[in-house]
Amino acid sequence: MNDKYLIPIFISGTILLMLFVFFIVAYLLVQKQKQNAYHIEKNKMIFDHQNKLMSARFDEQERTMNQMSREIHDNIGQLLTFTTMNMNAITKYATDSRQTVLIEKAKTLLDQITHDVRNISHSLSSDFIKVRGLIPVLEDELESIRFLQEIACTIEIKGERQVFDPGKSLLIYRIAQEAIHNITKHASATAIHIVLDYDPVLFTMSVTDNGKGFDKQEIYALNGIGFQNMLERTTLLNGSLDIESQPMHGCTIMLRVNCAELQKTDIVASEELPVINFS
Amino acid sequence: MSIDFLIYCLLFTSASLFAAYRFLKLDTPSRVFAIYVWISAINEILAIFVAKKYHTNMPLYAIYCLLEFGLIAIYFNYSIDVFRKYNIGYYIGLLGLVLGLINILFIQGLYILTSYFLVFEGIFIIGMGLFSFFRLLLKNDQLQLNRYPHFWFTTILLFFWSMTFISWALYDYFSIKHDKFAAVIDSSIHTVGSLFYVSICCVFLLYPKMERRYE
Repeated sequence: MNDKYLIPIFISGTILLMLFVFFIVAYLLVQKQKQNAYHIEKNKMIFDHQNKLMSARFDEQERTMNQMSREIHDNIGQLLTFTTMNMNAITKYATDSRQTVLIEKAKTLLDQITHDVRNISHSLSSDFIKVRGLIPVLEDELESIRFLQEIACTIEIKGERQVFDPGKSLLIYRIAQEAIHNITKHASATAIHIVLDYDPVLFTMSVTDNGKGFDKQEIYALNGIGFQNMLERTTLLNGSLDIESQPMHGCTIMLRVNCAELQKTDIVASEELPVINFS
Repeated sequence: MSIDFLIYCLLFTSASLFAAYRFLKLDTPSRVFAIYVWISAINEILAIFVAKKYHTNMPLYAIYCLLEFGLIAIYFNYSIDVFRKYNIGYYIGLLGLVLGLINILFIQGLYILTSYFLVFEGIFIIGMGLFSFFRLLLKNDQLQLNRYPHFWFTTILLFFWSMTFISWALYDYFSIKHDKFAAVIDSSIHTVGSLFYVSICCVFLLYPKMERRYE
């Protein structure tokens, strides 16, 4: 081949190869960007769907609990009130001192049942919790546990109390309720200590018991509906849930939520997958 | 020594130093790449002294080409998932070594530029680079390519070899027939080499901000 043709071939060949590589690289970048955008969109749709499902499930749960609360309050509560009134009437007609003593004992028991039924009704009612606020309802819950289970319950408030969205307070209360329920059911604890730390930036709630605890492997076995509910509610709060436990050394469940999140009125879960941090 | 060659020397020294500075933070394929950069730099420095003493450094480059191809094949062996699974990079490196030795011993010898081997090397490196891109595209992950060092290393290798591919193929021909044009090719190779090392410096410098993901 003539040399004068070789030099343009050399130059154009090099440029063509360069352009080829350039377009390959550009194509790869554009395709990968499209792939990533598609993934993000897909994940967002999945999370939105899960979020809606979760909210709907909790709404339905709350609705059912409200209905139960109303039924307990309106039917059982009313019946107990009538029974108490009847017992008062019977007291007047008691002729024997032994009868009077027994009737008084029955009245005391009836009062206790009325009190407990009211507490149960209140703890089921989301409206009641929203109106009363987080701290009083938690105190009531602990009071009831202290009385019924003979577990020493204490609550400690740190920092200046803040007003959170009632819906978010309800979610926090339900998490605490689930934790307490787990302690009374599984932990064989003699003491429960709840700390509500109202840091200006980060709200922290810790529920500690002195029960038998569990090790890392057991958490997966325990990962039943209770833990799942706590986790899902934490997701709706955009918070984090840490569980610290060792066999025979009790357990601490710690919820951390950004205060700004708790003051928002809408409940939108984060796009992060919910996780339990176990240590 | 021309100014472009001096700049070239400065750049490959810098790239070697950056590679050494980041070495402990590098993943396996990047470490192989860092070793390749060091060997290239040592070869270039040795080439200067050998050229002065023996008036030719072709034997050094002939042997270096084998090492270079072997290291790049090992680099791709670790950075491409399929290669790592079946050790394909090692087989390609071994094949290159055998063909390179045959070329040195029976075809072109040590005292001229081993252009046949360089063409083979170019084809295989460009091929492995394109295959690496193909695998990146197939992976259904959310990899940010601009934060992925192996995307950049592969891009740099692809640009270097596509820009110099025809130069290596025609280098012998021009060096015999057109002295002036051979000098232009020399200069263009140094310029492309300089760009190559500048890019490598950037990747090593920005390495901590990138994802060390090659599994």
